[in-house]
Amino acid sequence: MDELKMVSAYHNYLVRGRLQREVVLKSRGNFFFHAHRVEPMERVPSISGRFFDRRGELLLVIQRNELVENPQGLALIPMGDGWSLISSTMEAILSCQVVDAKEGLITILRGVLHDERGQEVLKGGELGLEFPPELEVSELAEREFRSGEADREARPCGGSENGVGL
Amino acid sequence: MKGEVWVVDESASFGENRVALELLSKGRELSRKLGTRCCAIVLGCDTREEVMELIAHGAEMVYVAQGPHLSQFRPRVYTEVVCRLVHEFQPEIILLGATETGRELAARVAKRLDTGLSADCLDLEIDEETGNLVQLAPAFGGKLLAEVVCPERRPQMATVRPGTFPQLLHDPKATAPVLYLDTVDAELEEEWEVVAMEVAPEGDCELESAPVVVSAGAGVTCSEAFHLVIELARALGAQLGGTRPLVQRGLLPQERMIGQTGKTIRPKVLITVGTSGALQYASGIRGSEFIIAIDKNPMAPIFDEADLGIVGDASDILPRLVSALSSVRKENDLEAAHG
Repeated sequence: MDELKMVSAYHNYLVRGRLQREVVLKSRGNFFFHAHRVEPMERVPSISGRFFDRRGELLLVIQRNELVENPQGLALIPMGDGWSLISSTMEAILSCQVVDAKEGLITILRGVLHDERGQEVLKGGELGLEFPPELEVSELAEREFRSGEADREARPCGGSENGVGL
Repeated sequence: MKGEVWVVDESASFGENRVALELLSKGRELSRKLGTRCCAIVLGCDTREEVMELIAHGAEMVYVAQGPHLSQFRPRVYTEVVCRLVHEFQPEIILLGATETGRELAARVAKRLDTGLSADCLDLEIDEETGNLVQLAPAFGGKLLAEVVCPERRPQMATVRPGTFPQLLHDPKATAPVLYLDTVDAELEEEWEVVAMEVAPEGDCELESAPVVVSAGAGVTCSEAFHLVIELARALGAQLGGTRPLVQRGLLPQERMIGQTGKTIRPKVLITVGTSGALQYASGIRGSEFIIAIDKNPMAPIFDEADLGIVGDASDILPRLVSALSSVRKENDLEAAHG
């Protein structure tokens, strides 16, 4: 189906083979996942969220890569261009790999996350993240597209003044 | 959104030059005058990097049609996809590069849509009174520059040669909405099938990106003079180009031809020797930042294009120029050697 995404010139996440600059997922319960935008000069993405294990028990509350509530002893290990969230039994829960594109960066997230019912809600692989579309909190792009408003300032040909998107 | 200015990017499928990035700068200018936005159309299989690059260079919206059936340029399939997009989103203007792929695609799309197409445009403007796209294109074998309009049919279409417009600077802060289209399942049969693709060796000709170019024309009438032109290029570390007559004489390969049916160049400095300045040639050099022309005819049109003109015989001027350059180089080498 047609999908409208906000895409950054600098950094994007890969989601079902497509790009988007930010990913926000929320279940009706307490599951929450946010892959934050990465601004120019930054390189390593950060995530926030509340994740559960296969039994539906709280696994982790994380805020911009800070482990806020960590009842099951996970660790966030920096690894090359990225990081890996590892369980106490050395199982990779979620890993982040930053890949250079022609003029920017693309992050591929791999792993599996569960919601409060123990159900798999997010899975990451070679084509990036996959999740039920109804979980996604969409950006303003949809509204902007329909209204046809330009979100960029005009800039002179060859000049360096930049318009700023959402 | 209706009435947009579109730039078709073909490199996702064919890996050709990025003329789309140049067209975005002109597209932005046109869209501002029309009160609309400039969008890029990407067709291909894996379009990730192209999408980001287009946004970085000015695309305010990107429409992406991707899938395995779009991995290579297949004229009928690409035409079908573009036409479907046009029917759905109704752009005002579509710009394509005047490349082999772009020319074929533009012609097919224009025919399918029953609209006008101007080829190899040298400039594009918006008529303030009518809002029509005014397309400046060579006509009558390049002897005239015509202003072409397509007042009734839409979209208005034009192809533009690579190197005609500058690119906008890369903007890492740029963002844009991208509409990924559920294609567009245009599984048409082509009349032919791509069996294999081979990248031709690049050679050492980089005229379009060279900062300094020395160009020779029909006024270079003898081999000694031509040899001097080569010496000048070597002394400057410049790329060598020339006009059609020199290519036809076998003195230069086709890829070094500058002009309407050759390369369009935009060097910082161009030294043009014995080129009269015919329209076909002038159209290929106008983007140069500083032009020095050498010709023995004081009335030659090339002096209208030049920032600095030297009237004289190349056989007389070039040896002195090469000698002076060699002296300067020797002095610089000595200074460097002595710290």
